[in-house]
Amino acid sequence: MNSLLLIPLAWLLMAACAVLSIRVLHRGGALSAISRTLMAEVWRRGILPVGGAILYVGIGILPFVLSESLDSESRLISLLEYGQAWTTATLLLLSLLMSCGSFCDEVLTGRIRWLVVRPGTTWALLPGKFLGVILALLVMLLPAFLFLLLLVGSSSDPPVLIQNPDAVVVVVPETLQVTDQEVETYLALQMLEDPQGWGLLAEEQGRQRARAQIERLARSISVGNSHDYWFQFPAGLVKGSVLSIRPSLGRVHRSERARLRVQFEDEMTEVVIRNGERSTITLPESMNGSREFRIGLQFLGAVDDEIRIPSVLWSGNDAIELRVPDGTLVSALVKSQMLALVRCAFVAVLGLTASTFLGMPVATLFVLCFLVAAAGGGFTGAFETKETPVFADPRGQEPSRVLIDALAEGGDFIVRQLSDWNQYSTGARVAAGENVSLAEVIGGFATIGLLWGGLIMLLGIYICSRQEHGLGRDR
Amino acid sequence: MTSAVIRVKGLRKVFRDFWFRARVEALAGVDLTIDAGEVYGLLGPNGSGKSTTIQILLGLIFPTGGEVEVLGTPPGNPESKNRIGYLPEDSVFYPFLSGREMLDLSARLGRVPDADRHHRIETLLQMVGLSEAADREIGDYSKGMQRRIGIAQALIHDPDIIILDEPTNGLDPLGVRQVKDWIRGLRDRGKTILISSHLLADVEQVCDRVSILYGGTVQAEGAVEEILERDDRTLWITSRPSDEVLDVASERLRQEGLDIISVKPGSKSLEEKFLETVEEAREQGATTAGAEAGGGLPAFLGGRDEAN
Repeated sequence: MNSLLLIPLAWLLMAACAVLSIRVLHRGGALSAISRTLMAEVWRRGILPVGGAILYVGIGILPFVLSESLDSESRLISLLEYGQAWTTATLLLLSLLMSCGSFCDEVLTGRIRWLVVRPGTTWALLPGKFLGVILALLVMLLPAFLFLLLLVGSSSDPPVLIQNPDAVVVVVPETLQVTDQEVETYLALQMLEDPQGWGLLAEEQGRQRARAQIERLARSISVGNSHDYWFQFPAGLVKGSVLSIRPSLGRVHRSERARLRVQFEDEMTEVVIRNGERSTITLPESMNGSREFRIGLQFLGAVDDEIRIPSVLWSGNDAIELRVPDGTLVSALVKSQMLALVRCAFVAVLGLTASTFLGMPVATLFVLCFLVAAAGGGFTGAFETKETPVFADPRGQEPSRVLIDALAEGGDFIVRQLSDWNQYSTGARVAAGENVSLAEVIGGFATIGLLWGGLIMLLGIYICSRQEHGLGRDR
Repeated sequence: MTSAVIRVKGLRKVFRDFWFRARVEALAGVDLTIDAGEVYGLLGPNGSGKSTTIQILLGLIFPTGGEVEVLGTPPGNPESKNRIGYLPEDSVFYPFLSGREMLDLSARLGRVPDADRHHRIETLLQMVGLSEAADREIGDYSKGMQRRIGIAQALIHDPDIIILDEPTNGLDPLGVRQVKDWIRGLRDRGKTILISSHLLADVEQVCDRVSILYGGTVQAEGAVEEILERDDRTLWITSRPSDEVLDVASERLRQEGLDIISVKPGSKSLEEKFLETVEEAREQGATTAGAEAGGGLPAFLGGRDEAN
């Protein structure tokens, strides 16, 4: 299917949806009236037509941009990944433009004075505009989703769309996830065994060392030794589940092969592994339905007897994982788009609230800074303490020091919230065939959409209701 | 017996800069009482505090001191808001909405029931003479047409108090005459109207009472006839006398010791001539792309039964 032909079709579908939604919102109270006005604004002022055109042209030219040398599977992955990324990035910027632009325009033209003297507008203005932005985003997202689906569907033979392959759920072993409880237990044991060595360490320093040692123990197997990895998958394993491993044999053995013995519940198998390359081992059918189970890995050393590889290391959280078929590619794509919409909604709320007290350029810059920080993890690590903090007597602390500490705590809090944002970035995962679980979608809606979005919206409404909208500022 | 719908006592407003330093004292103790069913004019030069007073009454800005009551409640109260119609000084309406859509938005924000909305929109469009142009975008309207749609939106929820900031701004003489007729009609239906305007002749013709603001305080207030009355002058308007009669009358007045300040032959005003010309053109069937003749006040204003 020629993707260039689909561009005008997607645009026309968006136009039809936009006009239809303006008509549908003809009834209802203040909330629906304000949403309808925003829809009319973004449609008649060209934001939707131009934004939609940019979005669909970007998706439409993807098949031409991707290298011809890519095989069918790589093309599919690239299409999904770039398509999702382009859709999310475009919609994020458009939601910022629509939210900031619309509210700042009300203030700039003085229309805000007419709006706030109407009864019920104080509470309906921001939520109404927010709903309008969401509707506009949905109107653009629906054709983009169908467009992407058609492109993905026609990118392989037989068409993926008809085949609709399974997506997978990724399960990581519990031993790679070190809990605080484990750290405390390990620390207590070490303190008993070696009170001279561990007892001299500061409390936090001891915890850091304990965590590092547990991780090292779980993540490396020396030659001839084995380690058990425990998995939990409440839904139960299904046919087609595989163990996926990506070992690290060290830089000097980068081109060597090694042997690994894999012990399932009642079966054993040996596989040849390569440094940094992912290998998959199909789980025996006898494990189907298992919810809690153990997989033992024994490192047998290099294939070539003359070479000695001391240990295998599992570097990164995806070094050992189970991939269990669950759901389909299309459902994963839908859920991923829903999470993208939640992120756009959050930006819209942030933009609307920022523009209640900032002008268009500053409000846009403010939200853009957030986007850059959140998408690129720009702040991550900036507030992390590199050294073990020295315990200070609070009675001797200067007020300025207390203030700096409070600011650092605030910064740390923001960083932790930004990690929430990154957690719900799912485009690359869907491209890799991973499922987006319903729990993640609900989590994204609850955390980013309802909790943070709701709080910011309430703040915006409060600021708007307490602000003067007179000529005073123009004087 | 009338009751006050707007009470203002010792109203002060100081505008401050970003650092909360006092920048300008816009109002320095304004006292006003506006009764139900009267047309009240707020006059004064630029910067005298008219707009500030109106914005405080609407709850757009907060007073620094003094007491303000609108319909017995503080300004900005949601209940009283729905009983106020407001025409801003500038026509700031959405340029991408059509006239009909704008009235629809205003009706929905004014909590007009769905069942009445369509009827009210159509009758108001007819009243302001924009039925033919109702589906054109407001951005394409002339300034006068935008003013007309502004007046319609201020009335759509049948308010008790109507605040008009420069209502005749941008209107042609025909429109000005219509607005004055509508204001008188609204007063007859029991509405209270507060007008802020620079066009003193218009205010003089429609207002029952006026106050003149200067320097943030009320300098003069009272019924229009009272504050304009001069006990040292008399104006006669008669049919045109012959020169002989004029000489005799002048001579007699001088004998009585009266000064004749001005005697001039009567002439039409430019407004009268303009209105006559437009009326004639309409009678001859000439059409216009702008506002049409318009009509009288719709029945729903003043709480009359809409079905009738």
